[in-house]
Amino acid sequence: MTAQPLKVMVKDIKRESPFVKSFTLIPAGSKPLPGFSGGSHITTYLRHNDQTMERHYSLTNTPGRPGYYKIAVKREENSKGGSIYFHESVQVGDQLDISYPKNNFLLSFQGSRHIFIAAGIGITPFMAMMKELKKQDKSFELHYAAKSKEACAFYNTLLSHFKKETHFYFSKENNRMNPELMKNQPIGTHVYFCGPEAMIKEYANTAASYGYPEANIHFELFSAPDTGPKHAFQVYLKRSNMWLEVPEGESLLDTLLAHEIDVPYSCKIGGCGSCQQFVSKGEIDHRDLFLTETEKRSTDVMMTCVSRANSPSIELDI
Amino acid sequence: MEEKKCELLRKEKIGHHIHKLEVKMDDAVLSKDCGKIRTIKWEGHVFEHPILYVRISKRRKKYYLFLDESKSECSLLRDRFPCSNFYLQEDEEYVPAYVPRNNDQKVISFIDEQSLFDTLPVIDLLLSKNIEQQIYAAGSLSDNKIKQYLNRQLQENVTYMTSFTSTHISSILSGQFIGTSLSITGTWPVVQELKKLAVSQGFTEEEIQCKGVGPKQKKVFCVKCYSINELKEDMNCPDCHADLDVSDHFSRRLEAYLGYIEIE
Ligand code: FES
Repeated sequence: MTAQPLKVMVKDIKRESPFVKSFTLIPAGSKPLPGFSGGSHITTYLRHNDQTMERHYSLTNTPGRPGYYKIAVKREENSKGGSIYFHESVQVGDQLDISYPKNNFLLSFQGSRHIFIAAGIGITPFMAMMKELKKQDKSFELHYAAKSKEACAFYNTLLSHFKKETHFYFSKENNRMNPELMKNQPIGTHVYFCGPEAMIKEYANTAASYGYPEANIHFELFSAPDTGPKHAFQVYLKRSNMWLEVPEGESLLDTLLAHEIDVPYSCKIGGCGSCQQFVSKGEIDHRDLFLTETEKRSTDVMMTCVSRANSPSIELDI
Repeated sequence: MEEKKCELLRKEKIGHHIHKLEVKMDDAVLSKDCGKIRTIKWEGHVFEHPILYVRISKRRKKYYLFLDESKSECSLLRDRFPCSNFYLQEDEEYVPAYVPRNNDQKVISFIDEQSLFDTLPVIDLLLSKNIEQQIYAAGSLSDNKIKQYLNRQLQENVTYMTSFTSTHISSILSGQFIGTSLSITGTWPVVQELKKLAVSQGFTEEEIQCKGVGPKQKKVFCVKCYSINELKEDMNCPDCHADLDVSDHFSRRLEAYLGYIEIE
């Protein structure tokens, strides 16, 4: 997080669907861009009206050291401005600040078969993952739900590169994707979901009910799930001997960072586990998708980016 | 551990030395789905005797007990036990041959003559949970009576083999679907070998449960050629002949210690 951002230049912009545009980013200086693996994302830092907006985007080009990055951005009308800025203001030749690639959505080395399940713009991480698997000649399939053929980003790319592996589901044609597609898959199958939170939950629960081991279920969240009101609570930092108030509507992580307490984090939406802290007292209101239900019941850790207190105060081991 | 009173409802001889008893607990119930009894007490006699149990009805507090009389020297136990009422004391340390996972659809068990006794309660447990099961038994089971019992319980889902060969086991494992778990019991070298085959077919730690007896062979994973071999002194990889420095880093997945290239 604190590493110097990478400076890149927009080399190309391509429309993938009425609402999705792809951006090709190349180094702004002479230093080549670091390599990445399938499932990686970067954070873009957009300066707008004196504020820096952090947005995460999966890299969609072939992993390795290609020397450039490609991201796909969906225009979200009710977004806080990041996607609209990309769609309306960013031009070829513009410079951007981005983070090093990070990967919270790794392909399993052990898997002998990979099933990717995407809804809408959730397709992006799989573009890179599939290219990686194809290079290695591994077995995979993609199930991709979108409104219609026209609204479906990468439709033509998928048809030309992954025709055999891809299954489309267009809701306008009344063809809905169903979690049952995960049933009766051979041992060694790993499933990967990317899309809205409700979809991820449905697929993850169904996969577990079919007997998929936890280690075979992977997902990436795109935005923080709406998990209800964010009431205020107190935290006591044991080792620093310090009381803080987490105000209503703000996250514990942001409160810690605002007080210059150097704690790790990455996705900020409860999906990666980076911001985990030990809780020595108090009841936790777990709101992340990272810990399993069993872990939530039995462990004394919390994801500070989304989880809150269920008691008036909690004590952290920092 | 407290003594718990039970009443005998039925008994059946299911093997030459093995009895299956159906009991109903009086008041206190046994603590697990599947466990072990350490001592039984009746009419003032106390016996240390291995008895395995499985719960068949929580509400009606009913259990099956499995008792191997050949393991007892005591003729009294052999001749007169059991009578209608007796007391049980649990062995809390016992680990069952298999503990069902939450969403098991099917369990494949590999057993041998020795581990058969441990498997008996598990068979009833899986039956009570309606989980499909398939048993592969290695070695000739000399006891015909118990074979008949197994056939009755499992119909065609039990297969007897003289020994487990890797090609055959691999072909059994490779056709399985997600939701299938493995229960591997027997002597450690066989258990380790079967586990290795299972991992190579894509089974994960979560889908495999092992319970072995006897000495466990230590294995070394060669970081140069990725082969796994038995640990020896002055380890030299039999496959690529690299001198290996055996670390104490143990890989649970590979069931082996990592052997690094020795640097002179
Ligand atoms: S930062 Fe990723 S879970 Fe909190």
